[in-house]
Amino acid sequence: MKYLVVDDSPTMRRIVINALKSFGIEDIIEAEDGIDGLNKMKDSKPEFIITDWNMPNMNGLEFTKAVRGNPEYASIPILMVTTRGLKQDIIEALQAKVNNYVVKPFTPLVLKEKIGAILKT
Amino acid sequence: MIPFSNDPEMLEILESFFIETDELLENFSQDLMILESHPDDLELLNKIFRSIHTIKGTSSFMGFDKIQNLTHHAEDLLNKLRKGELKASVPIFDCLLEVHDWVRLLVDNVKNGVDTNVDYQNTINQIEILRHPAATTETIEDKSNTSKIVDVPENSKTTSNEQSALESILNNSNIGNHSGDFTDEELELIQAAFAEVNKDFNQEHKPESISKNLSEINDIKPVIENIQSEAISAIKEETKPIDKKDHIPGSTKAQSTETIRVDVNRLEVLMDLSGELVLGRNRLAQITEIMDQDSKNKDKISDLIETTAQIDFITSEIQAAVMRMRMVAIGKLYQKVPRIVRDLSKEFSKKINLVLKGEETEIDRGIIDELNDPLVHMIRNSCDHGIETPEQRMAAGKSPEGTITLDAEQEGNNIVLRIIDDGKGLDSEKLKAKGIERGLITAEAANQMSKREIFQLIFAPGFSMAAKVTNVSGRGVGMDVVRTNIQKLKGIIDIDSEVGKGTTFTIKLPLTLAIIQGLLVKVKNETYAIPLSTVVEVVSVDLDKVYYVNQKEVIRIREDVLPLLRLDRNLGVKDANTGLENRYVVVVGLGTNRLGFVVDELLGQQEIVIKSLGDYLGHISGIAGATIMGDGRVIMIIDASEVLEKEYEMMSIH
Repeated sequence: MKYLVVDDSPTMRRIVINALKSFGIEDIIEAEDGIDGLNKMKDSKPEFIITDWNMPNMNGLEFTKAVRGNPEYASIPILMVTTRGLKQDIIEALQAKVNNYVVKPFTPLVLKEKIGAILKT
Repeated sequence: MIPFSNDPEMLEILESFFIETDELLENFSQDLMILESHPDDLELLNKIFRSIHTIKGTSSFMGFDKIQNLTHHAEDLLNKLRKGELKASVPIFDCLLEVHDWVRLLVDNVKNGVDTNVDYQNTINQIEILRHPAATTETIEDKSNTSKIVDVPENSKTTSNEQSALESILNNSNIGNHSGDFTDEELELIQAAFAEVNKDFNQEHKPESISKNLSEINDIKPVIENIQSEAISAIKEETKPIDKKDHIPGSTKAQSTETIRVDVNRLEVLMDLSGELVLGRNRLAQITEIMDQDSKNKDKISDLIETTAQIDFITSEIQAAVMRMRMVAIGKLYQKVPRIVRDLSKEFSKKINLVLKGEETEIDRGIIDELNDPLVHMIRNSCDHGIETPEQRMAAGKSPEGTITLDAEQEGNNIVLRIIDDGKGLDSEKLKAKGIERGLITAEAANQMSKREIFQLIFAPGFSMAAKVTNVSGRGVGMDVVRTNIQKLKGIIDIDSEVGKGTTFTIKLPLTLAIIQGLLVKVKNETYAIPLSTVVEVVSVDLDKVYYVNQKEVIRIREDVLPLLRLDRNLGVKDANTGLENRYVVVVGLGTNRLGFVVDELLGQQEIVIKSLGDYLGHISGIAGATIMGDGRVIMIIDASEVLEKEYEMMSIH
């Protein structure tokens, strides 16, 4: 199963990817913002997306909407990873049809649980 | 690196964190200063926000609570700016720059494994004061935010009888409105809402279930759409300028994908190896030549010559490529300057414009690092002593705003960096008087000195230009250190100044430190290299023009009298020639000082790789290092600047 990690911070990507690898997930592609994410998806379609919210060029929310708006990608689960933990933020994420939402900082275990919860449904 | 010292993966992340945070901090302070003069640039404000936001995010993972705390507060403040709830002001910029300094310090502490007590509480208090300019407006806005959310479900009554988790969240205006984390209950509710969305989502996208659940979906759809449009319009309203800017196609993006970061040490190793390769190549060329002369097997030799030529070419290419890798735009050096000028203008109540030119000029990274301190000192000097106060400037009929210009350009194998101010200029008479007062020169000597030589006095140790010692310059680290540092880089520094008009410092540096053009000379039977950058000219000795002044040999070249130095005696070569017949003088120069090295033979110039003498020999006075010749011989490189300086020191004593 191919994962796409979208984050403008190389350090954050590393953190997320390291966590994924510790779950035995090896097939991972990276992108540095929403536009890059959409471009990368053209080359190889991921089956799960983990995206940051606040990014330059195209933020995670817009990226999510773009993915949901494309019939080819619309069914790919999206997990939003962000420091924004306010109610309004969560509602925004819900509206954009993010499948779940992790507030930074998180432990690998929480990440695993959230991914698991999405894949189960 | 206390917290992660054992985990290689964590160390890698930590390293990535350092690199990224360094970059973000630099951008943060630079962008802040640009924003200060362009307060309406929302795109820039968003970029600034993102920089600090990313640091907050990553530092929270690393467990750097202090960094997280500081950046969190800065983020709050920036958010208020973004939303237009606060107007950009000097105190806000001051405060954010302070945050930058604290975070910088904290990151450096982590890097260096020290845990000094960093008390940034004042900065945080200041942020809090700035954030709440008037408590009343604050509460009103909070209420309006809440009511906006409560409004949402009003228009979106679902067709289902039970209240959905999503709705509960929407209805429960208390969620997320209290400080601290969500309560367990709230979290449960949020999770349920997501589960609900996931359910809808899956039904919506699983083709086999579409027909089955069609009616259900049709029920849900208008609900979601309703909520969506409602929320989106709310989002749009709140983030209008951000959205607009974010949609503008990124222009800077494309470049970043084409680069990778490389550890400087690895580059250093590559540099060393390519240097060794040059030496090997030189040796190979020489052996080939000898074999060509001796051998009878001409066929084989021509193959060898061809191969050697090829290796020669490739080696030169590799070397050039490695050099290019180490080249960095000098703009990197400029980065700190706007902040310094900004802070100093405030401190001295002066108005100073900064003009940066030639940022794209490339220079060896090693030189950039070493150039930083001298440049900072000179900028401070220009702000402190160069530029006058607005009152003084107006009285002198100048614009109240002073200008400092930094200009870099490449001239042949050198980089020339100029620091130009339009301040009060150097007063050569005052400098002379001070030089005499400090015992640096005699009154007689002073009268014979050219303007240029007098200006050089400010580089003498113990010479402070400031009438009174200020907080900024004159802390014992003076311009003498600047000159020493520049000389260490095989560079020269020159001053040009006019009273009332301003001062220009010109720093000339080699493009790279590792490989130099050397003039090979013979002293008796030994070969030495003199860096060509210090050589002014070469003349043959004309015995008629040799005189003695204070028992020292001098030679007249055109109108100048040049002290001579017998390299053979100086280097302790055995059986040194006593006469000067048929010998040459290599004139070396540093600033305005000139000295003639007497040598026996000129062997021509060559590209030489400087090798250090190693720890066991350490620094030998007058020797810059060694290089290996094509025939395998090791020859010494004469540190012309050091020898020259020593000689002049001795002459001034006598």
